[in-house]
Amino acid sequence: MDEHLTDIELDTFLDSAMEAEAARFSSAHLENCRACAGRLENRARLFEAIRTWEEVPIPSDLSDRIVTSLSPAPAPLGLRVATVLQAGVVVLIAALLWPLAETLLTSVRIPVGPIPIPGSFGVLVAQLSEPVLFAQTEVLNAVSALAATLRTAPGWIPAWPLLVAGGVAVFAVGNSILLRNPRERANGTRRV
Amino acid sequence: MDEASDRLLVEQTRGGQIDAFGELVRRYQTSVFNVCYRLLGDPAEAEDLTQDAFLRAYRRLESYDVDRPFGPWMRRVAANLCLNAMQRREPPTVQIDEEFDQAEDEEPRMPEAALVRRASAERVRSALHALPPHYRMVIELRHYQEMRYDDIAAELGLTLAEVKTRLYRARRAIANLLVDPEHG
Repeated sequence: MDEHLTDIELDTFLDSAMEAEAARFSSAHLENCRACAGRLENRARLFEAIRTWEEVPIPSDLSDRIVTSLSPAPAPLGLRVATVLQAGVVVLIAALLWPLAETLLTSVRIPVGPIPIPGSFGVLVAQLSEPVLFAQTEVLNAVSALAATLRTAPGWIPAWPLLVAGGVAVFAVGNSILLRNPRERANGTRRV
Repeated sequence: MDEASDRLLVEQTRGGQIDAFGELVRRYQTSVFNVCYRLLGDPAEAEDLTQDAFLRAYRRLESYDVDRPFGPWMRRVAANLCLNAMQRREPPTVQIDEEFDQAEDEEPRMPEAALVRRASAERVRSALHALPPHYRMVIELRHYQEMRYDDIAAELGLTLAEVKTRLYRARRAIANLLVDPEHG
C-alpha cells in the first residue's frame, strides 16, 4: 500500500490543481485506499460548506449614485465668467504689448545657410501690424473715452497702466475661482 | 447575465454613454458588494468599496478585454481594492496569528461531515469574518472567484507551495470555527 495522501494533496486534488502525473497517482491511490477516499469525501463536504454563502442584498442601489458621479458637472457661472474675463485680459495685454513685440521681432535675424537674412519676421510683422494697431488704438480710445466720461483719469495718466492694473486684478480674481476645488476635476469623478 | 449584452454595454460606455455603465452597475452591484462584504466584514465599508470598485473599473475600462466575461473581471477589481484596503489597515497582532496557527495544528474537533450538516449560511458568514484577512483573501479567490492556484499566487505575490499551505490552513480554521464559533 502506498503512503496515505496528505490533506494538502487531497485539497489540491479536489481543486484540480495537481500536475497530471500526480493526479493519476492520487486517483489510483484513492481507488484502493478507503481511508483516503473517506477523508477526500470529508474535505469535499467542507468545500461545499464554504460555498454555502448566501448572497447578501446590497443596502442601496448604487447605479444612480455612480452615474451621477461620473457625469461631468456643468461649470458654475462664476467659473464661466472668470474664463471669459481672463480671455479678454489676455487679448488686451497682447494688444498693449504689441509695440514692444514688433520692435523685438523685426530685429530678429534667422541664419539660413551661411548668409543671415536680416529681418526675417519683417513680412509677417508688416502683415500683422495694421490690424493689431487698429485694435490697439480702438481699445485705447474706448478706455480713454470711458475714463474721461467717468472723470477718473486725469490727462497726465496714460490709459495703458490703468488697463494693465485692471487686467492683473481680473486675472488674479479669475485664477482664484479657476483654482478652487481642483481635486475633483483632476479625478474626473465626484463623490455623491 | 447575458455576456453579449454586457459586451454591448461596455462598448456603449466606452463610446461615452454613462447610462450604459449604470446598467452594468445594476447588474453586478450585488455580487461585487458580496465580494467586499466577505473580505471586509462590514456592510457600510463594503458598500463604499463597491462604489470605489465600479469607479475604478470605469477608469480602467479601456484595458478590459471584451472577449472575457465582465462579471469575473469586475469582481477581481473589487477584490484587489479590498486587498489594498486590508493591507492599509493595521496588520493583525502576532497573538492572533499564533492563536490561529495553534488552532490549525490541532485536529478538527468533529469530522467535516458532521460540521457540514450543521453549517448554516449564517455560520459560514461568521466563520469567514472571524478569519485573519490573509486567510479570508485566499478563500475568496479560490472558492468564490474560482481562480487557479497560479493566478492566486501571482495576485498575492506568493509561491505555489505557499498558496497551497495558506489555503489548507484557512480551510482548517473555517472547519474549526464552524464546529465551535469561539474557536481560534
